[in-house]
Amino acid sequence: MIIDIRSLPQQTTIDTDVCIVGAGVAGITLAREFIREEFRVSLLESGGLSPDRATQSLYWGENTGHPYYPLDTARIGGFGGSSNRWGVPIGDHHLGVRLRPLDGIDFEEREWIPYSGWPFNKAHLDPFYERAQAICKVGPYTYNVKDWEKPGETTRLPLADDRVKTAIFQFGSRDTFTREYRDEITRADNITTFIYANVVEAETDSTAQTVTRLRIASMEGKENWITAKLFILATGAIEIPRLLLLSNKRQKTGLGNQNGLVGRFFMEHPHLWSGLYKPSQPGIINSTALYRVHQVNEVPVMGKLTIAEEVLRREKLLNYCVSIHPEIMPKRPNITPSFKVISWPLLSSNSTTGCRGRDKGAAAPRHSAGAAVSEAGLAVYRKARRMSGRVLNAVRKKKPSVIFQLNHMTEQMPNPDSRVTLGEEVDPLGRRRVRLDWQLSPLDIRSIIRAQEIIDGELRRAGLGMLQIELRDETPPSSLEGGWHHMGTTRMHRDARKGVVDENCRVHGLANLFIAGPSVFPTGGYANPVLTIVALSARLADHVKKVMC
Amino acid sequence: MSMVDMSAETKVRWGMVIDLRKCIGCGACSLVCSQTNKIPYFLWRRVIECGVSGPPQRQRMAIPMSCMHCSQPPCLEVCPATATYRRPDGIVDIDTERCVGCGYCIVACPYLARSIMYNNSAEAESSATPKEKAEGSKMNRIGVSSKCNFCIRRIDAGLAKGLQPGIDNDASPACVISCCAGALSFGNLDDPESAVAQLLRENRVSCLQEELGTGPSVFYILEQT
Repeated sequence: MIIDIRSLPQQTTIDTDVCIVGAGVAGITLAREFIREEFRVSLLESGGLSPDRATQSLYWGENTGHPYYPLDTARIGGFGGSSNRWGVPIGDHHLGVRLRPLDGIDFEEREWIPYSGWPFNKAHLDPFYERAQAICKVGPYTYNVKDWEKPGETTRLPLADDRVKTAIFQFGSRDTFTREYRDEITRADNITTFIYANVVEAETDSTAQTVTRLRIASMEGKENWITAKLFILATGAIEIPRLLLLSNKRQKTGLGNQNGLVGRFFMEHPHLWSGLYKPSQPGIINSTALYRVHQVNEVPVMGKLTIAEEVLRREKLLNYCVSIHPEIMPKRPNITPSFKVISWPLLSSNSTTGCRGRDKGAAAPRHSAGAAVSEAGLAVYRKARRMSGRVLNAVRKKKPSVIFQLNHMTEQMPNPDSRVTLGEEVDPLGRRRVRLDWQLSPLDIRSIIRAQEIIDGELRRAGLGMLQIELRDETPPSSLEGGWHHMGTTRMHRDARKGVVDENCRVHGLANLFIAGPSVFPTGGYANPVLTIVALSARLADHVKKVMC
Repeated sequence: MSMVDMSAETKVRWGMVIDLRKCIGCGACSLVCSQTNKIPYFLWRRVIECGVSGPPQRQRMAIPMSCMHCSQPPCLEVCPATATYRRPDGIVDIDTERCVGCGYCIVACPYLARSIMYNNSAEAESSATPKEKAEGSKMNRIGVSSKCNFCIRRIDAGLAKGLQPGIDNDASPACVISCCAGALSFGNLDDPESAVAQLLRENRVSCLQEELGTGPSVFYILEQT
């Protein structure tokens, strides 16, 4: 059932068992896992069934650090959350998102990366990743390159040794979360979705150890409440710290913020277009189809180049990948303008006869009286164009060559100074808006530079060409941007002094408040976060089911 | 029944209504347009950022733009090669075999909707799988004028199957079916029962540069005052 919360009387209190805040990928995954359970579930969504401008405006905030996207465009309200903005064309008029699990090394505590280390390893998360694949409706849970290669058509670059590897990404469609699961959740008897329900505050008991209810506001000025046995925040790594920091009646620094960690360690996947891959021969382009979005057994996939884990350890680098994008050089010459002079006299009669109202079709024949000269002109023009093309190709000494532009995507080092705080301005619901101070570290840039040097060496050794590396120093270039991947602001750690949530994603110090989504990631690897978000949400759902028994 | 027959008998004028109260400027329409028509991003369809209102609302405004499929298209008038034409159903298209790439239409269009496609997507041309390569070559329109055609092939193919543009996804422009905010509507402007006609009746609507007398078939719904 879906209820527009604006239709409820003012000061209504909704009572439920499990309250999920946010109908994005994490919230939807959780809600689906609870279908047909014995307990009642309420799913709160700040927007409506689809995104709208008014809801987007609630996300506006200040950027004070490295240049970042306007915050009201960096997240999406409405059912499906930010999956509404997945923007990779995956064929057949669909848009989707890259999916890949984190690598084994991403879970490890690495001495060269401060604050690294998850409370569990990848093997622990593998069964949940397998479930996540099914939830995202993509291919089998295999990211072994050979499972996605087609001999003679899409094979990996023949690099000489294992220092540089190929990583496979699968793609999931946004329609899965924005449309298909909406219908499924709507039909579930034990789940009620409330739309236009903006949670503005979480209230606790007097000891600040249990959340008792959430205050919900709508843009129309109504205020309602929801009580539950258990609350799960699933609104992403910017809105979750915002709500925790705003909920400061009992705990003055904000809920779960007894150690000042809420909002810190904001991470992105730094994305940067920089440098070129120059193949040794033009024919190499035929060996790179694996590295473009293509379909294998109806699953959209693509490959990227990465650095082997042993090399990352030896060189003390962050995890990294790069995609390669072909560009024909020089651009195909446009010979048409050179024929304007020739063609114009032959065509000009048409311009003087006037073409206003000229329509194609039975009602208004395109070729009107007086167009005969034009037809002759066109015929001459077309013949001249074809011939000139042949002549130009024959006499051209240098054949067009192919280069590849490089799009780097790297892990970001956890940095406590990279953080989300509250600004001074308030939104129409009276909440302080967020302030994002995205801070990069020298290791972030050093890893991109060194990874390119390693790939360059391997390409040269294999006779495949070379990289032209543009980055020279560790200053983050202004063109470096994020991927709308917000992570780390309520990081997971068994020790309450080092993390906001424990290994079960429960907020330290609060018995019934959990967090789902990328804000719990202690480190982010290079892989797009969606598959890990879904896997962690499935894992959290299992835990909640046990708690609710 | 072919599209032309249908138009002759039942008065069809395809048009689009864009609800600016809903558009969040995400650009998905441009992305899907480029994918569907195998053209560079933003070539046929672009989303103009118009800034953010002041506090406390902070609402961002964006205007999606493409060819307006005018009833009096200035681009058609200046075309020396008779490459630009207007179908009876109102769609303005370019015959790429006739276009000489002179660019007069680009200058004439007040909506900056046209451009010369100098370089097709390198990816579509070069390193694709054989199937994609074959598809890419069919779409080759380099060196000639290029613009939105309301996904004419989807409309015609859909009509041939008995589908209704604007109602059935397979017969509608790709941008319309990809809009996550539901801001784009497509349909027959001359059918008073159509969703687009209803939107035009019930809302405060405007066209871009109406004063030029171009008679656009793309309309914008504005905030109620």
